[in-house]
Amino acid sequence: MSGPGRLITFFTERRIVLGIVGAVLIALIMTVIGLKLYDLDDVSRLDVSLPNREDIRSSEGGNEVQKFDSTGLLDEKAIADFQALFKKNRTALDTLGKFDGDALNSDSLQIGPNE
Amino acid sequence: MKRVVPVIAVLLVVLVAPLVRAEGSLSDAQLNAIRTNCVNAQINLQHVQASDKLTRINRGYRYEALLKLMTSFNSRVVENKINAPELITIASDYQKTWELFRSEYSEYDDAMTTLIQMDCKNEPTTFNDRLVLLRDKRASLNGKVSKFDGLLDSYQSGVDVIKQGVQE
Repeated sequence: MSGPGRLITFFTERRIVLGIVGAVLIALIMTVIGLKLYDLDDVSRLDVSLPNREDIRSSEGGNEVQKFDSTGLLDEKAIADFQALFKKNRTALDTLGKFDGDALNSDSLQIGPNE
Repeated sequence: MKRVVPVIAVLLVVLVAPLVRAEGSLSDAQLNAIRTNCVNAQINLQHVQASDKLTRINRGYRYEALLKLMTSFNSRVVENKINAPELITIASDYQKTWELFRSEYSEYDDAMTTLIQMDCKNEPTTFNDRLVLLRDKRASLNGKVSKFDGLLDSYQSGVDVIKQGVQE
């Protein structure tokens, strides 16, 4: 049998195995691409489901659903409902850190006077 | 040749000036203080990073919730034919600030990671320079938080005006 003929026979006889290997390879490549995209985006750094982030998970802010319909009459009651939701979120924001400079000053880090 | 010499001189000044400034900005005592304490400082920075991550997640959750609320309210304002273009403008500014905040936080977090992982004992000057840059990034984030507060105050005032109009 000629060279190309042997090659065709080889692939024909093992097409199921080769198909499975090909599918696994494609799945691996897609997984690597997906993980790379996940890593490039800021999603990965904020993913609280990662194994070493139990502390963050346990102290994370509420996940309550707060809905205000985007359609309907805008009467006094609707505005009051909106203001209540708005205020609730703003009050929650007031309790959170503001990235102020104290945490990074030289005294806090104990490396001498501030530059 | 006459033209090349000044160009090279300018290039050298531009390239070397930051290094000269950095070396000149720290005394020997400061460099020693960094060498001695920087590993502890890096541990403290790890705590700050973890705490900041929590702040970012919780602030992000609230900022997004407020953005959704404003978007829904604006839709209803339009549907009810109430003239309040300032609310649309505020929501648009808020959206832009949110996008900036997200990207600036990512840059800040990357810079923090670099600072935590670097060999600070052998490179105290670089450590100090990176710390100064990190402080700038943190100050910018703090500025964004203030900007959010200002925009939310303005939006709240706009809603109050609409409420008064509806009551009349």
